[in-house]
Amino acid sequence: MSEKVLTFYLQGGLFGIDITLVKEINRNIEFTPVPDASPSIAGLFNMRGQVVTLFNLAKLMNYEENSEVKKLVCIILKAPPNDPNQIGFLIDRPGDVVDIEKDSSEIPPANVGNIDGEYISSIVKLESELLMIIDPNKIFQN
Amino acid sequence: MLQNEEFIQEFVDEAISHVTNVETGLLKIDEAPLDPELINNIFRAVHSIKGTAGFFGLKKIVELSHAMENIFGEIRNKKMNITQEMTDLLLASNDCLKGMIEDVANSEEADISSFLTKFSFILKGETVAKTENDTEQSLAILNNEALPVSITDTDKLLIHNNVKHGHKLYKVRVRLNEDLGLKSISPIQFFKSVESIGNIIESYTDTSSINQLEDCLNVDINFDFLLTTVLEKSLLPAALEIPEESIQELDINTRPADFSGLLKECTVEKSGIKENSETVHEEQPSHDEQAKDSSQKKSQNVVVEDTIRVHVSLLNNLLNLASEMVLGRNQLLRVVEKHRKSIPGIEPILQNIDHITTELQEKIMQTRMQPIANVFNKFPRIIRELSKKLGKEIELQLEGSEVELDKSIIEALGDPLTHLVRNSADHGIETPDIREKSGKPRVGTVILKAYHEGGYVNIDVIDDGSGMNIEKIKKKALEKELVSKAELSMMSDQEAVQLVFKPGFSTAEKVTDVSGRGVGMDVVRTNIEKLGGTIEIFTSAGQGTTFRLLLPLTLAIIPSLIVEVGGQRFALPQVNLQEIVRIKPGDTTRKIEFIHNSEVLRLRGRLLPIVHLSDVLGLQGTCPTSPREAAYSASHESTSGITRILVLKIGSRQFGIAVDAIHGSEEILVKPLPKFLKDCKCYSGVTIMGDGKTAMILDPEGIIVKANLRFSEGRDDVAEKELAAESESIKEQQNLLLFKCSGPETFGIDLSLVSRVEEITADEIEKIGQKEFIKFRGNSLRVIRPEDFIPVNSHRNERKYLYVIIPKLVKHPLGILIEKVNDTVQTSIKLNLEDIKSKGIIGSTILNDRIVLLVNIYELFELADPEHYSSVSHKALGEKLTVLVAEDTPFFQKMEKNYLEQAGFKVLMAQNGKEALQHLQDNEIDLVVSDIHMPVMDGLELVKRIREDKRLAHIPAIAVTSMTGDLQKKAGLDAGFDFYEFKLDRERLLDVIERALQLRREAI
Repeated sequence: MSEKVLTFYLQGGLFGIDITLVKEINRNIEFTPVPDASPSIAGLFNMRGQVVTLFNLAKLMNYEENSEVKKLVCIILKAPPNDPNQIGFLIDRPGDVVDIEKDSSEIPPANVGNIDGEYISSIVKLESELLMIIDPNKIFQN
Repeated sequence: MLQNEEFIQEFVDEAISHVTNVETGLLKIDEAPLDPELINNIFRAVHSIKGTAGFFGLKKIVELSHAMENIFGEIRNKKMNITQEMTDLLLASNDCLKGMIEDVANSEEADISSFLTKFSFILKGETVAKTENDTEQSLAILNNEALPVSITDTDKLLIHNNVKHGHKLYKVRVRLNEDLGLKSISPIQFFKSVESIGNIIESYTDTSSINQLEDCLNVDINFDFLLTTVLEKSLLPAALEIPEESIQELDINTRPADFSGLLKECTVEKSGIKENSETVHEEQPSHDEQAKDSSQKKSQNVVVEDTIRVHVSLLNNLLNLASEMVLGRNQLLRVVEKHRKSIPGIEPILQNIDHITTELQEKIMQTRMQPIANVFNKFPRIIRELSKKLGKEIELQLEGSEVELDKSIIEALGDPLTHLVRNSADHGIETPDIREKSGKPRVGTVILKAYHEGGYVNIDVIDDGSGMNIEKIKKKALEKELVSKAELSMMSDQEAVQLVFKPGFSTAEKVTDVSGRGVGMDVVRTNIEKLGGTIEIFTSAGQGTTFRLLLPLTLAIIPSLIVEVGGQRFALPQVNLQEIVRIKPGDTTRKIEFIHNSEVLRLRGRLLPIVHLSDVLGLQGTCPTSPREAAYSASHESTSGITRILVLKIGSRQFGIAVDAIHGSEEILVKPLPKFLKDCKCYSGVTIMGDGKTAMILDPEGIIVKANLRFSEGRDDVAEKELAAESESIKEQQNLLLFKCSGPETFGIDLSLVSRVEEITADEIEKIGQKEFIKFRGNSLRVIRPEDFIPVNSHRNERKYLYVIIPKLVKHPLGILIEKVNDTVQTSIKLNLEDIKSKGIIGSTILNDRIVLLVNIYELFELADPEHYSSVSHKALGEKLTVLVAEDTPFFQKMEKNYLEQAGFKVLMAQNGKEALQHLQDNEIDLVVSDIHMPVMDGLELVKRIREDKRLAHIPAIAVTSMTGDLQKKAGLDAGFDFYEFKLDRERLLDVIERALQLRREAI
C-alpha cells in the first residue's frame, strides 16, 4: 500500500504531508500579521473570502528561524468551507509529490525528541535523504 | 455515505417544520376547536412525517406519528371531540416526536410506549385521565397488540372515500436502493411525488436488515405502501419512476383476509374491510361534501412550492463569494481605469458589472433574512404553560411577526426574549384575583411586537401587569450593595429602573422555577448588546411594563472606523465611538498630560485616561528605549505631529485610544475570529478590507482588560453628573419674547412668564371707564398698554390687528396689549441696570445691535393695578429681616432682589456659594435663597455646608431655579433645602418664604 505525500522544504529539511489533507499551495501571498497573537501565528490572509490563519511552522517546531528569507509560499489544509478556522502554514518552497511505500517509513528514532518527535508522525527513508512526515492534527490542535 | 446523510438531513429539516406546524396548529385548536382546515393541516403534517420516516425505517417515529395521525383522523372525521387533556397529550407527544427527529440516530431508543397506550385508550373512547391510571396495566396489552402499522378505520374510510372519487387502490413496492438510492432520488422527493398524484394510505418498511440509519439506502430493503390515485396502472411507473412489476392494483372489494395480507407484516385490525364498507354505506357523504372534498384535494395537489431549502453554509459561501466579487470588481475597475478611453465599448460593460455586483451582494445579504415569526412562534406554547404553572390567565398577542432580521440575530434572540416574556408573565402579570381587585380584566395581556424604526428593528415586550416597584428595586439594589445610598438619592425613577440590569440583581422575592434565578436581566442586556442592540425599560405602576429591544437589521455588516497604528490597519466598531480628538503639537489648551507614567487628557473638565493602541497590542515603535515615547514619536512622524485620540464609551466607562492615523469609516463584513486567536482579548473578529487584505476588528472591552484600566463605577457616575450639570448650566439662558408696542422701542419678556400670545382685532377691545377689556376664554380680561405706564414713546396707531400677551405665574392676570411680536430668542443676557431706569423695567440689554427693554411684569402690573398688585400683603413679612440671595445670573439677581426688596426684605447678594458662605459668617441672615447652578460652589454644596454648620443649620433655605424637574427638585430637597421653587414666580416665592419663616418660628 502506498500513499502520496506532498514534500516541502523548511529550514533546510525535507518534510512531507499526506496529500489528501492539502487543499492548495499558494504563492506570493500577502498576509496581515496579528499583533498580540502567539508568535507561532504568522498572520491572517484572505483566500477568496475565507480568512486563513497562517502558522509559522518553523517556529512551531522550534527551528531557528532564518529571518532573512521572507517566506511567501504556504500550504493550505483542507477544511469544511465555512469553518472559520482555516489553517495554512508557511514553507520555504514546495517539493514533489512522492509515492511512499509503507515499509520504507518508520516511527521517529528515539533521539528525535521533544516537539519534533511529537509533530513528526514518521520518517521515510528515501534513497537520497530522509523525509519527515508531519502530523497536522497534532501540530494545529491548539 | 454523504448522500444518505444529506437525505437524512433533509428528512430531519422537513420533519421539524412539520412538527412545528403541528404545534402551532394544536395551540390554535384551543381557540377554534372545530376548524376543519386546521385539523386537516395537522393531519397532513403528521401524515408526512409518518410517510417519510418510513423510508428510513425509523420505526419509533413511524409508530408515534401513526398513533397521532389516528387521533387526528378521528377528530377530522368528527368521530371524536378534542378536549383540553387531549391537546396537552398531543402536544407532549409532539414534543417527544420532535426530540426523536432531532436526535434521529438514536430515535429507536426513545420510549414512546406511554403515549401509544394513552392514544390507544383515547381511540377506544376513554379519557386521558383514565388512561393515566391504567398505564401500567395497559402496557401489557400493548405488547400483545403489536402496533407498528395497522390499517385503521380511518385509513379504510379514506380508501373508500378516495375510491368513490375515482381513485384506484395500488400496492407499490419500492426498493430503496435500486429505485431511489442509485438514482439519487431522496426519499423526501419520492414521497412528495407520490403525494402529488395520490394518497399514501399506509406504508411498511422491512427494516430487519437495517442496522444503522446510514445503511437504509444501501441495503436493498423494500418499502411497501398502499396508494390510492386516479392514475391508471400503466401511467404509474412513469410517474413514479419505478418498474411496473412493483405496482399491483388491488380490488377494493378484496376480502378482508387478502387485504390484511397486502402488507405482509402489517397487523390489520380484526374488524377488517368488510365491516368498513358497511360503514361507508351508512355514512354516505352528501354530494356537496364530496365535491368540496375533491376540490380541496385538487387545490392541495396544485400547490406549487415557491420556496426551496438551501443549506445555510451555502448561503454563507455565496455571501463570501459575493464580497470577493466586489473586491474583484474594484480591482478590475482600478486596472482598467487607464485604458477606459482606448477600449471602445468597455465603459457600459464596466458600469453594468459594477451595478450587478452591488445588487448581487445586497440580494445575497437578503437571503439571510428571516421573519421574526421563527422566534415568536414558540411563545404561545410558553405562555400557555406558564399561565398554567403560575395560575394566571394570560393572553399573548403577536404583532409584526413578518418583520425580518438576519438569521444570526434571530437565532440569538430566542433566549433573551424568552427571559423577558417569562419575566412579564411571572413578575409582571398579577394573579386574576388581584387583577380583578385593581379593576383590570382577569386575563392579563402580554404583547410581543416587532416593527421597523429608523434602520433598526424594535421589539417590544409589553405586559399590562403591575409595573415595576421602584422602591423595591432601590431597596434591593441597596441590600445587594450595587449602589450607594448617595447615588440612589440622586437617581430618577427611570435611572433606578435600570438597576435591574446590574449583575447580581434579581427582584423575585422567592426564587421560582420560572424566572428569578439571579442571573437575569444583566445577561439579557449583555446578549442584546452583543448583537449590537440596546434595551430600554418603560414602566408605570399599576399599568404595566414595556421592554424595548433595538436591534440592527443585520449582524454581519457593521459600520466601523478604520484606524492605523504601527503601519497596520484595524477596524473599530462605531457603536462605542463617542468622538475623535485631534491634538496638535504645541497646543497648550489641548495636550496630553502625565500622571506618573499614565497619560490623561482633559476633556470637558474630566480626565480621560489615554492608552496607545500600539502599547496595548505590543506593536514596536521606532525608538526601542521607551515604548510609550516611541509610540508617541512614531505617531508624530507618521501624522505630522497630530495625535488622534478616539474617545470610546462602554456603559459609563470612557477612555481614549491613541492611534497613528484614521482612514475613515467603512461598512465591514464581520467574520468570526479563528479559534487560534481566541487568546487575544483585543479582537472581536476579522474582516476583509476593500483591498483584499484582512484587518482585525478591535474589541474595546478587551482593550480595557488588556490595558488594565480600572474604572471605579461610583466616581465615574459622579463625574458624569458633573458633566450633566455643566451642560445644563449652559442651558440656563433666558428665552425672551421680543415685541413692540406702539412706540419704536423693543421690549423683551421672559418666555417662562408668558402663557400665550393671542391675536385680536382692534374692535374686540371694549372700553369700560378708563380701562380696556377683551373677552378671553369666556371671561373678561383687562388689557394694559405698557407705554401708558412706562416712560416710553407712544403713538396711537390705528392698527387693525393687535396682540395680547397673557402672562402666567400671576394672581390676577392682565393682558399686555402689544402691536407686533418680533421674535423669540434664546440668549444669555448681559443686563445693563444703570442706563435705563424706570419702574416696570428690569433693565436693558443689547440684542442684534438693538436695545431691548426687559419688562418686569410684576412692577408693570403694580403700576396698572395697584389694588391687586401692591406688595403690601408681603410687606410686613420682610420687616427687619435679611435675605441672602446666591445667584450668578445678573438677570435673575435683579429680579429676585426686586421681588424681595418690594416685600420689605433687606437683601444681600452673593455671586456663588462661596461668597454666600462668607456673607453667612459675617452677617446675621434670616433666610437664604439660592440658585442651584453656580460657578465655584453650587447651591447643593452651599446648603450642605449650611446644614453642617451648627450656627447656620437653623436658617431656612429655598432653592430657586429656572429648571423644574423632579430629579433636580429631589436632589435639592435631599441636599437640605426646605423648598424648591421656580425663579420668576414672585407670588409663589414670597409665599414660600413666608411659610419657611413661619415654620422656623414655630420650631423655635
